[in-house]
Amino acid sequence: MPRSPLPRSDASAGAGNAASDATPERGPQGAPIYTQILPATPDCVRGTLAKVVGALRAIGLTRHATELIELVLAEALNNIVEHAYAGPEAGEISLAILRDGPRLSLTLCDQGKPLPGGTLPPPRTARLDVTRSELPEGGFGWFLIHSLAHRLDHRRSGNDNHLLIELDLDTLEC
Amino acid sequence: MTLTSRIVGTVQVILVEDARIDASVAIRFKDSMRALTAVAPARVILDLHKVEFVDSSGLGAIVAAMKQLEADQKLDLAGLTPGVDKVFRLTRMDSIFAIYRDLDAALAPPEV
Repeated sequence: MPRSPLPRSDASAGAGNAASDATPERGPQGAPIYTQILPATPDCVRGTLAKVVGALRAIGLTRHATELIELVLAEALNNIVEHAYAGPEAGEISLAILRDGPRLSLTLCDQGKPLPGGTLPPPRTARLDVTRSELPEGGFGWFLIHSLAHRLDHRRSGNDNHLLIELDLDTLEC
Repeated sequence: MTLTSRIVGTVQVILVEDARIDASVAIRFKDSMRALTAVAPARVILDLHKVEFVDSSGLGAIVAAMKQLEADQKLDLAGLTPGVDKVFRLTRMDSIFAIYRDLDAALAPPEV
């Protein structure tokens, strides 16, 4: 099966892609639900989420499942905007959503900085048995992704970050 | 980001008019809350019944709004929609705030 013909940004058209083209993709299978290249800005993330919600409702997902998928996707996109592309120049994010039966896969690709330590943060819960002034105001994002995802996979190839989030629709509907 | 504030008896009620508290408005939300609660009574209720989506940035901003208050003031939450309620439960932030079904429940006198 050929790779999906996602348009590429100029920044990604380097040697890194030649390398990844040479190896068979172990990426997700299924029917495409939504694909987009978006500028990595908070406002564009918001616009994309609204369109994704429309696409998910259009294939018959419940409002409940759609809300949770929107949350997971928001956290993943915001992480890229705020951390991978931290700095004055916004890059681009490639997003593809595929459905294969009860599995929904969100694939995100960016050309920003690698994850700290080169790997996914562990699923940790913030300590809440602290005084009010010590309560955490952040760090919930990866925890929410871990909590709601069926499977997570991240790899760095060349200058690209690839994040795959697989969701189990049967679980989310509960 | 539109927040409206009114005083009900001895309580300040702040209603979030927007459907989203997300990464693109989290800082504005926090700043507006600071301005609205600069001179606030001992109890502030944040009415969230119009809010359909809160992400981790929005959640952090609500926590920050509570931390901006003086130590003897409290921030209670009312009217969480199902998706917003889920975010609070998943992150266990529902253990940090007093959460009421709706504004009427939040304003009802405590049961003896």
